[in-house]
Amino acid sequence: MDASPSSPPPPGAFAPGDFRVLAVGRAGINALELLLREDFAGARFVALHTDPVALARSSASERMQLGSGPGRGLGAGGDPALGRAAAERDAGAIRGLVDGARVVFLLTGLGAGTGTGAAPVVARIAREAGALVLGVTTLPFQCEGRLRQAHAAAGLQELRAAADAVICVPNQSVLQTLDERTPATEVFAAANQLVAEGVRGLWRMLTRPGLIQLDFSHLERLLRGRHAESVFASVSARGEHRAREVVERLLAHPFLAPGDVLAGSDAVLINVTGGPDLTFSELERVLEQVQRHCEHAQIAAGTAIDDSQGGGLTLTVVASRGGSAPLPEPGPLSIRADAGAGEAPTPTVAPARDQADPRDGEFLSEGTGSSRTSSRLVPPVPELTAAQRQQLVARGRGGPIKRKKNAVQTTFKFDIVSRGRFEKTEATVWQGQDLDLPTFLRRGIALN
Amino acid sequence: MFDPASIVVGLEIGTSKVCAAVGDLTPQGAFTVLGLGQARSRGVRKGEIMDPQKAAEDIRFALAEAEQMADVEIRSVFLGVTGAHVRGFNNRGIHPVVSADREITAEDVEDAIRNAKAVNLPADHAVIHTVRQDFAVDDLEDIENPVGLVGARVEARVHVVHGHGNRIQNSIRAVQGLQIEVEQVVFNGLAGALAVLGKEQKELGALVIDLGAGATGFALYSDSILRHSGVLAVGGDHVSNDLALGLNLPLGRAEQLKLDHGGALVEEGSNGSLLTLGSEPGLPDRTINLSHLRRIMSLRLEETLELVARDVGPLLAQARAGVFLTGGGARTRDLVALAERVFQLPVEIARTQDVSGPTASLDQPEFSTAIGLARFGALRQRRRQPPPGGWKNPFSSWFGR
Repeated sequence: MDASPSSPPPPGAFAPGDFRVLAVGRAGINALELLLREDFAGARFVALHTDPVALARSSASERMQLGSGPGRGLGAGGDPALGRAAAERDAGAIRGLVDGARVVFLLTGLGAGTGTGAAPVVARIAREAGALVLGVTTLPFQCEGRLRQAHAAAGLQELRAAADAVICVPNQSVLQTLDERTPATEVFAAANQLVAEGVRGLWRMLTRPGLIQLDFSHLERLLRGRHAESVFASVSARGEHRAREVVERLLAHPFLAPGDVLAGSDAVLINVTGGPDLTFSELERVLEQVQRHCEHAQIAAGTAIDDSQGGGLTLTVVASRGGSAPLPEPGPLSIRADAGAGEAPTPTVAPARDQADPRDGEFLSEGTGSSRTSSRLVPPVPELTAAQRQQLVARGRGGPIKRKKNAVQTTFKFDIVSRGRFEKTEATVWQGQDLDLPTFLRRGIALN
Repeated sequence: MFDPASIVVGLEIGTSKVCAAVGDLTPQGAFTVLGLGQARSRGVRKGEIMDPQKAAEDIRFALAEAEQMADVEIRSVFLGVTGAHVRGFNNRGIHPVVSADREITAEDVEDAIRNAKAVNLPADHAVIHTVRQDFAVDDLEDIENPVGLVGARVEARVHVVHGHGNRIQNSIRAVQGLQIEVEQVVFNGLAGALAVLGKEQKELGALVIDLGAGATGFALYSDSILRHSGVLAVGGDHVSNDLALGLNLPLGRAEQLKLDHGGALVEEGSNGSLLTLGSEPGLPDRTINLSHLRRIMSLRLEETLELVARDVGPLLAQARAGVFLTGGGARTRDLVALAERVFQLPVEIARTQDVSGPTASLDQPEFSTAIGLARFGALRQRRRQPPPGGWKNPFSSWFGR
């Protein structure tokens, strides 16, 4: 045991010792480096990796080599199976790391060996130990290749199934935020920065005294057992119009890009952090504006004062979508139909090609066709998060599908919703939305 | 019986109905509605004519009915237009005062207004109205009439409403095809406001929302000045269409259901209460959950009102007299409560103001646009503005002052 209190603390009171940050794999460790530069008094940071060399580069006080048993001591070599095996072998040691923690942050990057393989194992162990497990993970760039994408997709499903919530930072959409001439090192740094930001935002929320306090119990109630996939966005603005700008920036954030991400979410965590000069009207405006975009989600809004923020305003939003029941077997495209979104037959791209790739077979979500509504109405294809879209694209390239006997190949419906009476009229488009489509469909509201 | 010259007719070619109102302006300046005619509209979608032939039939029918009721012959109409293409914005024009004594003359004012009218429109758009707002002389703001003041520079502010030329022409041609002259084209949103806002309400500030079947028009007045106007091509048809899609019903039945059981709020306790739809003999009856119906409607109406609120923006605060709902959609149950929630202002169903005639028809929100159009015509006549030129020369419409 460690700094965590021996008797159960009163609910809501959050001791720094309850907070554990585990970085698994190289990407996680890199993100951890950013966190280590800051003051997280009391929190424990642990770096885990299969590769002792990479581990040695970390400045974390606690480091643990996974799979350090006899004969190994090398990296996972990009093979998630090796990563998983290594973590399973050291399950006992990992349990010791997470013992007594109430929140475990799992920083990782999916796609390669250790993060993809070991992170879900670590998440599972931490959850078994009673902690709320939040994964924060990067997803590979598209140019990193199909195999990595496939690994990442599978790993994400596993991680989702194991953790309470997973916040994805798809590198590809990080790229969109950056200038084309940005040096490669900075691109990776930016992705890590976002991962760090995610942790920092939540840390701030949990520990800073809030005007409207959002504490551990809120977080737990919102996330516990949901296996949600979350999108995270943190934006700041300064100056006279910061309240308005910060909302605009949030909505323009690449992770929330289509604007419907918020509308499609079923749990949203909003935190506003400002300097001592934060006015209540600003606060009110920001919260009201954001809530207006996610009216149908369960919302937890909080606000905190941070002296170091002087003049600035930071808005942190974690929007979760999906999952209330335990996840079924991995299927990278299972955009869940029960996501409160009145959606959605699983869209599958992937025109069948001849080349065989055994992995694809297991990703085909089986029998989704039968779960379709009997209504003649086919709702629009749900808005995908950037991560999901990326997976879809990766899927499309990786196409080949072995025809399993009971696998159902679903197809995209192109005539998505009949426009009914407005079939032949000019569409009424407002800010990219076709207003002729029923509001409840566009907002993804289930009638039942 | 009536002086034919004092007869004015407003014609609205709406999405659900074509409506004609015959009005008469007494020498004393009182405005009376003599007759109303309406016909179900079949050739219009979202406020614009899609099937000219059917539209022409419907117009003929509506005008004939109005003629019969008012016992007059209709030769010319003031034609209402709406549609997604219609837009309003504010513009200003500056004119330097050059006379030696720096006194502002009527010509200076005219020049300033002319400058304000010289607006940059999309190539195929035409101006429907330019409405005078107020003036500024040097640094002096909010001047109603600057003639006679002394200053170096007079600035005129106007509200310009413009629309797509060809699409306006479609409506005009449909009427002209019936050998009826179009005196002027008028934006429906303004006509609605003209019918339902009294002097005090304009002075105090009011937002009028005309919830039609195909489009929702709105106009905001404050200090007796038209501040904002616009159209959203979403209306009652969208509600019906949503219901048809959401509840899996034919459109006609959805429409009927909307009228019979619709409401803008999801009531407590409506969950689980079922509506049974009668059906053809031999087929099983269908049941529909009332709360689904309400939720679909509520979402659509709320969104529509929110979009209006967003379009009006911060000016909304100037609507101190509140929000006035008109048009057929205003009849929706609980809409007032919903609108109060969206706008955070007092909301009421508008009533036609300062108009006499058959009360039963004047109080119907459906007729306010047609009555407003006739009233617009009457005001034009009172000002003894020469009517010819039609909408091509609409610069002379000083609205509502």
